[in-house]
Amino acid sequence: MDYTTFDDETLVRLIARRDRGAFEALYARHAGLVLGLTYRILGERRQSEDVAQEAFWRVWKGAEGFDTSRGNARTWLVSIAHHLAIDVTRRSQRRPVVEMDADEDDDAWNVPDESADVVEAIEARMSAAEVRAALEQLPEAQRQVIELAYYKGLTHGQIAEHLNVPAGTIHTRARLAMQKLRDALSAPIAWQER
Amino acid sequence: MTTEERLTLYALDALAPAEKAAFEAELAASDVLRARLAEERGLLLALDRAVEPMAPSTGMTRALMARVDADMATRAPRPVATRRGVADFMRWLWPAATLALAALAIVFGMWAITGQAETARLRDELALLTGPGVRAANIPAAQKDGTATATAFAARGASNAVLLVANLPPLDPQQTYQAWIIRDGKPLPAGVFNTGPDGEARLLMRSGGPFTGAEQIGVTIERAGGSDTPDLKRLVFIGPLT
Repeated sequence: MDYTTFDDETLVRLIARRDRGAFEALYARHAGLVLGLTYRILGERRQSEDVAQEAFWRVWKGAEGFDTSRGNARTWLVSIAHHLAIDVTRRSQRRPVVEMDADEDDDAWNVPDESADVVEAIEARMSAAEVRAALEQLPEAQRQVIELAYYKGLTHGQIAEHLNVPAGTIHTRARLAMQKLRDALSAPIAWQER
Repeated sequence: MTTEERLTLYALDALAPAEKAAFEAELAASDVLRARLAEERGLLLALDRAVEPMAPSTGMTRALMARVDADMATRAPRPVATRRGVADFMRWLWPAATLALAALAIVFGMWAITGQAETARLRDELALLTGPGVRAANIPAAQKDGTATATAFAARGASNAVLLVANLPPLDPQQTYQAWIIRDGKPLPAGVFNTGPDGEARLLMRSGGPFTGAEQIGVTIERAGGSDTPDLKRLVFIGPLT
């Protein structure tokens, strides 16, 4: 069977039936992305590989819990990897984390349809390099808040303490950063018309 | 803090637990907020999906597939929760039966060939590899120029771990590889093994106490039968378990 012709959602459907070939194909297609993301968050090769491997293991164990009718297995996989990597980061910071077992909480990783739609709309218009550039082009103070919150797992209070600025400043910077990201990434997306 | 600010901080997962719980109550009551949240999360997920890819190592791939293989050996394929015709059911049943027979063959084959202790060991390995909370740790090679890899699987609080090695040359009969669990700075013998012609081996390491996550795993080359203390001049792998 030539698995390379299947889309991600079909592969996940096959993985739910314990099809090892489908799992290998999904891994071959996305291992680089998943490892790139865990490395982006953790910054250490060995630990990043451990977490990336765990993300794929969760897919193997939890494929039945993924609702393929809602689409976008790649976003689901990326979401798992992000959460696992942030959990590892928070453990090292002693911020409380909730242990998740793949067998018990399959649905926790599912991404809402609307979020997946936003991602797909952005990817239809922009290359990965352009998306990365949108983050890089934020004013330094705003980008720093996104980095510390989203990629280092800090709360707004921890960020304020870390940067030695009032909490209100962090709230404002986070909001402005997201507004600018939205402007840069998704001008044609439907929500602006709502 | 305004609602918009709370929304952004929630999407970033940057609210404190109590704030998060309070905002979730607001979310539950507002379709508009939920839609806005989905949009903000979509932007962040787009950032995640745009990271620079990174090639995984052979060791990572091998360790993952070993876990998958172990899982497949213990369970039959899962039926998909849809209505099936008889033909569809039979198509599922045949590979299921084949796999189930294969798993039985492994267990009973091991029993017949090597006895009850070996079967129990195999069962312990499979239980560990497929159990909840198991973590894989790549144990770095002591010599950086080789292709040998080692991966240890353990769950915090468990007393056993499984070590998988690959690309490690077989030793002559006068020597053996020996694994060590280093706890509080003291090396504890964790079992001996040799690799096959393919350079691979698997070892069930019994630690004698629950893993805390602070242990290190080492592998040395020792005289046949193993040693009480490791020969550090012949260190093959050394690294933390977590």
